[in-house]
Amino acid sequence: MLTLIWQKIMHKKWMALCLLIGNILLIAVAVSYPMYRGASFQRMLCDEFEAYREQTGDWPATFAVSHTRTKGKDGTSYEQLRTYADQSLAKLNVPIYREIEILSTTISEITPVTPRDEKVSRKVRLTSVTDLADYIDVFAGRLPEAGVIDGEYVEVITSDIIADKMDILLDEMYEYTKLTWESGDPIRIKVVGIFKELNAADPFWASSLEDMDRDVFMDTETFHELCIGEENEKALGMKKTIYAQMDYEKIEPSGVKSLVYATQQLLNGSGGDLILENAYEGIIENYSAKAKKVETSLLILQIPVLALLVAFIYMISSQMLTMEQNEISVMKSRGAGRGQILGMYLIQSIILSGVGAAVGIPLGKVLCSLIGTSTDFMVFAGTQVLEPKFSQDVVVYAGGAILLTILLTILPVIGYSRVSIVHLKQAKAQRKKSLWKKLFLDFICIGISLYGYYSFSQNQDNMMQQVLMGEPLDPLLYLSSSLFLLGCGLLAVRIQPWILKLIFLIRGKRMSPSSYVSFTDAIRGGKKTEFIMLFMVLTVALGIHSTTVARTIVANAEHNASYVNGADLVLKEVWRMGMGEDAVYIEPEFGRYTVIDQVENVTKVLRYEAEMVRHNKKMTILGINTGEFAQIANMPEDLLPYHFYDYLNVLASDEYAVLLSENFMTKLGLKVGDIYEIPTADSKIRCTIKGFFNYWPSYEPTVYSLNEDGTVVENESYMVVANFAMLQSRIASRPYEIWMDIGESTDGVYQFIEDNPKLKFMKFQDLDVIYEDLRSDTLFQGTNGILTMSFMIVLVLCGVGYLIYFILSIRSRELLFGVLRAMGMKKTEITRMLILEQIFCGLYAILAGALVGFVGSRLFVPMIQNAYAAENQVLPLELITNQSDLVQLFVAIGIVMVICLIVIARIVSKMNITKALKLGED
Amino acid sequence: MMIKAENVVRSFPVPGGGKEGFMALKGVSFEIPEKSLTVLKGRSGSGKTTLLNILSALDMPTGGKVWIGDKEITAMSEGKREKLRREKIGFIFQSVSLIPMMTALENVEFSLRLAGVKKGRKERATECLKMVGLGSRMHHMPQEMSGGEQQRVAIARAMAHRPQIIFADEPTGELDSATAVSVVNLFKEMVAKEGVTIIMTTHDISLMDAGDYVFEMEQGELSRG
Repeated sequence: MLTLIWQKIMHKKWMALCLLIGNILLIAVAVSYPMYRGASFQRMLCDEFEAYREQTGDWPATFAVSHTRTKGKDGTSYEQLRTYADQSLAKLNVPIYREIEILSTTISEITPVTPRDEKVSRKVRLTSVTDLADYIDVFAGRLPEAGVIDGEYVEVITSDIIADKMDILLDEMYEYTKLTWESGDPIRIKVVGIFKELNAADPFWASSLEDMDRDVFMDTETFHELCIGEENEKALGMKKTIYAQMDYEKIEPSGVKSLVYATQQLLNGSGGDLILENAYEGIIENYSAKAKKVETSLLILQIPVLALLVAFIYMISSQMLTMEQNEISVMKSRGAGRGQILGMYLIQSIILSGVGAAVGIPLGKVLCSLIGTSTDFMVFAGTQVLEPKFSQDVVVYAGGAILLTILLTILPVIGYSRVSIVHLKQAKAQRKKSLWKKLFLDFICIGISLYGYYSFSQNQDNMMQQVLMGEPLDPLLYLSSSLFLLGCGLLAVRIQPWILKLIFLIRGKRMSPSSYVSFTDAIRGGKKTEFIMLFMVLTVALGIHSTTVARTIVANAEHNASYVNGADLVLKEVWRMGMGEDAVYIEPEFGRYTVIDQVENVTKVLRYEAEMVRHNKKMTILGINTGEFAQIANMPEDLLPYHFYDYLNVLASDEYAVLLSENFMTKLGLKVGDIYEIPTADSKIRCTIKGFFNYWPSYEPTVYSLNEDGTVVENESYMVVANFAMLQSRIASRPYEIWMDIGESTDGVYQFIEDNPKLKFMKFQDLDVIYEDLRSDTLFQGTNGILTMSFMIVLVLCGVGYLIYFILSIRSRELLFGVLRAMGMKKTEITRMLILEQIFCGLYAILAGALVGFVGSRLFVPMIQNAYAAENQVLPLELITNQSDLVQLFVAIGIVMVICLIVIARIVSKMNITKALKLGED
Repeated sequence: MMIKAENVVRSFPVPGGGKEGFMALKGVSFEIPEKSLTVLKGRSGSGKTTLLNILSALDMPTGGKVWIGDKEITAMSEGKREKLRREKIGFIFQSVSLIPMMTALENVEFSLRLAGVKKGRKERATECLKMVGLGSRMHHMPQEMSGGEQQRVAIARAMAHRPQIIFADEPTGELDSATAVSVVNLFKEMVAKEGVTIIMTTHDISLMDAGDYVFEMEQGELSRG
C-alpha cells in the first residue's frame, strides 16, 4: 500500500510539491506566532522592569518583608521573620538574584569612652547589612574584624556622611549609655573604617545610605552572634528587613499571573505586624495590559494570511483530487471500500503533513527571528536578537496546524469516495451556479463590512479612548476590513463574466476563432476559474492592504515623533548657579555646540512654563530665533493655512510680536492685533498678537492622560511663541534648550559628550533614538514583521498558485487543443487563446485586487491605525502606500506571469496533435 | 478528389528498438477516387490510425508520398497543411471531441469560423445539424447529449464547411451497433448529397461491407479487403 501511495505522490510530484509548500508555510506561520509571542513578551516584560529601574534607580522586582520590634517588648523574632520570608519566597517561586538582609538595633546615645571637650549628641544604631563589604570603598581605615575584640568591644565602620554628621572619629571607642548587652555589660564600639558607596546607583542600596543616616555597621556574623536571639532582640530592640531581589530577566511571561496571585495571597494573609512591600505588581499590571493589546492585535493580523494558506491547500488538494477522480471512481467500482480509499489518502496526507512539520517548524523559528529583526516593512535590519521559545503553546499550535493540514486534504476525499464512476459521469453532465452566488454572499459581506465601517467611524473618539486605556482595538474592526476585501473579491469574480459578455456582444460576430473559444470558455465555464480568481484578487488586495497598514503606522508614528520632538536633537544643559545672594544662572558656552561634527545648524530655544495673566491657566512660552528656527524645526508642510515661514516672518517683523496657539482665540476670545501680556518675575511684557497657529513644532494642542479611575482626560495646552532676543532681554537668565539639525548621524554629538564628561543634561532627546525605540516596540515590530511575512507568503502563494493552476488547466485540455489543431488551428492561435485566458482571469484578478486593496485600505487603515497611535498623536493621519512595495508586488506577479507565458509557449510548441488525440481514446 | 499514397513508411522511435524503431507502416500504396466512402479496417495496433493521420496531413510519414488531388501534401509546409486542414478537410474522432463550452450549433459554426467563412454561418450550421437529425437539439450543450448525438454533432461539424474529404477515425467506436449503422448510412448520404470523399477506419466487422472501397490493414501493410 505504501508503495502505491508513493507512486501516487510521485505521479503528481508537482502537485504534491505545491501541497507540501502550502503545508510547510501553514505550519511555519502557525508556530512562528507563539514563538514570537513567547520571545517578545519576555523582552517586553524585561523592558518594563528595566524602565522602572531606569526611572527609579531601584531594583524593579523586589519582594520585601520587614518588622520592627520595640525594645523591651515581645514580638516577632528574627527567626520567625526569616522562616516567613523563606516560605513566602517558596510560594512566589521565582529565581532570586540577590537577597539583602538589613538588621538594626534601636537608636541610642553613644559617648566617646575617652571624653572629648565638646558636647555632641550622638545617637546611632548598630546595623548589619549582608555583603556590605562588596559594595563599599573603605577609604579610611579598614573593614571590621569579627567577634568581640579583647572581650571588650566590637569593631564597626560607618559612612563619611554619618561620621561627619555625628563627629565620629576613626579609631575612637564609644560606649552606649542606655543600651547594654543582655548580660548587662556595656556595649562598646570602635570605629575602624570610614566608607563611601562604590556606586550609589547600584540597586543593592535598597535602603540608601541617606536613609541609614544613623547607622554604624558591624560584621554580619558577629551581629548575628551578639544581637540575635529572643533575649538579645528584646533587650536591644530590632528592625529587620529582608529584601529579595528577583532575577527579573528570568521571570517567564507565562509565570507572571501566578506570581501576582501568590503575592496577593501573601499580602492578604500577612496580617499582624509584618510589612510586605513589592514594586513588581504595578509593573506586571502595566505589562499585562500591553501584552493583551499586542497579543490581540498580532493574532488578528495573522488571520488573513492563515486563511489564504488554508484556501491554498484546499485548492491544491481538491485540484489533485479532481485529477484522481477517475482513479477513485474506478477503485470504487471495483469494490474498494470507502474506508480503504480514505485510509490511503489519510496516509498520504500524514506523510505530507509530517514532512511539512519537519520543515515548517524550523522555518517557523527562522520566521520568528526575522520578525524579531524587522525594523520596517520589508526591512530586516534590527540587531536585537530574539531567542525563539519552544513553549507548550508552540506544541499546541504546531499540533493544530498539522491536524488542519491533514483535515484539509482529507475532507474533500470523503465527498469523492462516495461517488462511483457512474455517478461521476452523471455529475459531469450538470452545470450548477455556485452556492455563494445564489446566496449573494458578496453583497452580504460588503454590507456587513460597510455597516462595521459606519459604526466604527461614528465611534472614533470612543475607540481612541479605549486604545489610550490600553485596550486592543475591537477585533470586529479587523473582521470588517477582512470581510470587505472578501466581499469585494467575490463581487469582482461575479462581475467578470458580465464584462466579458458585454465585449462578446459587441465584437462576438467578428471575433477570430481563438478569441471566440476563449470568450465562450471564460463566460460559460466561469465556475472552474472562480476560485483561482478569488484567490488572486484576495492575494493582491491583501498585499496592498498589508503594505499600507505597515507603512502607515510606522510613517505616522515617525512623523509625529519628529514633530513632537521639534528638531532632530533637542537638549538642555544643566546650568550652574552663580555665587552670592542674587545668584543667577551662568550660561555655559554656546559656541562649542556649533562646531560639533555632523551638526549642521544649532539654535537656542527658550521654553518655560508660565501662569497666564488674569487666567488661572498654565501656558508654554517658546522663545525662538526665527531665522535659525526656520532651518532647524521639524514642521510638516500643509499643516498651517499659510506657509510656516510666513508665520516666522510676521514674528520677526516686530520685536514684541507673539504668535499664540489657536485655543487662545477659541477659548479665551483673543484676536489678531490684541495686546498680550507675558508675565515676568516682577512685571509684564506687553506684546502684540500677530497670529494664531494650530500646529507648531513641539506643540501638542491636547494632552491625554488617564485619571485614577481609568477614564481619559483631555488637557488643553496653550503656547505662546515670542522672539528669543526680546525675552532674554526682559526676563532673568534661565537655561534654554538647544535644537539641532543633524546631518547624517548623531555620532558627533555623542563624541562631544564623551569628550566633555562633566556635561549634564536635564533634557536630551535624540530623534534617532526615539525612532529606534519606536521600531523595536513589540507592537510595531510584531506588526511590521507579521505583515512583511504575510506579504512574502502572499507573493509565494500568488506565484505558485497561479502557475500550478494554469499548467493544470492547460494539461487537462490537451485533447481539446489537439482537436482544434487537427481542425487547422495554428499554434500561434492556440497560444493567443491561452494568453487571452490569462488576461481574463489573471490580469483581471490582479487589477481588481489592486482596486479592492486600495479602496479597502482607504476605508479601514485610518481606523486600524488608531490602535498604534500614541497618546501624543498630534498630526492628522496620512495614508501611506509605498510605491516601491507596489512595484515589488507587481514585479513579482509580472515574473510569475512571464513564467506562465514561457510555460505556455513550451507546452504549445511541444504539443503533438496525434498524441493529444490519442489521449482522448482511453 | 483523388487520394493517392505511394510507398508510405512510418516508424516510431522506440527505446532500445534499434535504428529503425517500430515500423507502424511498412510501405503502403493505394489510390482512392473522389466522392466515395472508403472503409479502412483492421485490428487495433494494425496501423490504420497512423495511416489516417498521414493521409489527413496531421502527421508526416518517415518515407513515401501522399497526394490529395494534384497536390503532394507530404511536400507542404506546416502552415499550408494547416490551411488545407481548415478548408478542405473535415475530421471526426472516436472520442467525443466537441468544445465543451459551446452548444451544438456553436460547435458546428465554429468550424465555419475556422475555415474563414464570413457569411451565412448560422444557416449552414443549422442545415448540417438538421441533416444529421439534430434540428431540435441545436441549442444543447454537449454534456447534455448522448454519445450518439454528440458524434452526430461532430459529423455535422466535419461537413459544415464543405470539405472535400472527411476523415473519420473509429467514428462508431463508442456507439451501439444500431447507432453505428445509422452513422454509416449518414456517411453514405453525405457522399451522395454533398459529394465528399469519406475515409473511415473501423474494427467493426458488421460495417465493413458498407464502403465503396474496403482496405484491410495488418501489421503495417495494406491489402484489398
